[in-house]
Amino acid sequence: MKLFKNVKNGFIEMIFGPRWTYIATVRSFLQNFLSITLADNKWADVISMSASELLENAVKYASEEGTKISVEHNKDENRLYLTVENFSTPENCKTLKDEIDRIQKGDPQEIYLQKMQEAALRTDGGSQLGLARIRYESSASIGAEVEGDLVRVIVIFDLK
Amino acid sequence: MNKFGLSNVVTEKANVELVDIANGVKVLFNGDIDVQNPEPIFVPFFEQIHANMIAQNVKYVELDFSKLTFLNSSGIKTLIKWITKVTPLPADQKYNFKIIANSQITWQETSLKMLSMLAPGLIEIEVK
Repeated sequence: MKLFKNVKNGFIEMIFGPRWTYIATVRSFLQNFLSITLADNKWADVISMSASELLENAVKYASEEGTKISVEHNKDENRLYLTVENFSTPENCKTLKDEIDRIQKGDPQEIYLQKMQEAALRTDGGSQLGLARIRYESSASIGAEVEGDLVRVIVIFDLK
Repeated sequence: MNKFGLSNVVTEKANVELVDIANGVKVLFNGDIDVQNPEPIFVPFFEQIHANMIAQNVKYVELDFSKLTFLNSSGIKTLIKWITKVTPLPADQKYNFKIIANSQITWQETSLKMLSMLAPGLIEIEVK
């Protein structure tokens, strides 16, 4: 995390240990930050909920300490970029990429309903609903990049 | 105490209470449900309500989320598990849900609307 010059857009970056208790704190901070940055409480709520879901995944499926979250509002594009990075296993990275692929290709409402029906049958404590929920509630575009054991999930919210 | 004799579920940040109403029962959700694994906390409570609804032939339950400020997807899953227990029941054991959502809390209208799609005809939504 390097300090840089010429910050034109609303921007925040945080690194924290994968402790569940920090997620609510980060969510609450982001909600306040976004309310100021976007001057729109509805988007602030949706994006902070999305961040919370991504961070929950990062904590649940991380292989090492350390989670990084960044938010950047590009005023020219009227888009907001939410990025969460953590370390994970190759198996979890593959599962994540497959999951994002399925969610991005389908109709958001249809996919979310399917995921809810699947969740009813799950007995492993996970819900696997978070990404489908983000897509359904925000129409955001979700992508993932993997570099070695580092996985980066990028969610782009079109604020137009 | 409510007609099912069930105690409230209380976590660090949430309180879920069952109360009697004229035509059935009401579940009041308060606070934030954002624990890592809410299933061991909430699923047994919902299962007891479900069992009592059938045993005592109660046909109506209101789920009032108007004071619930946050619900993570694991929490949504606990509600899905409850609702999907009702759909396969024979007609004489089925009961109806009414979901009460708060229009001031952004996630509620969208997330809670989806729950009604799991059990068409059994769930009504009121947005206040």
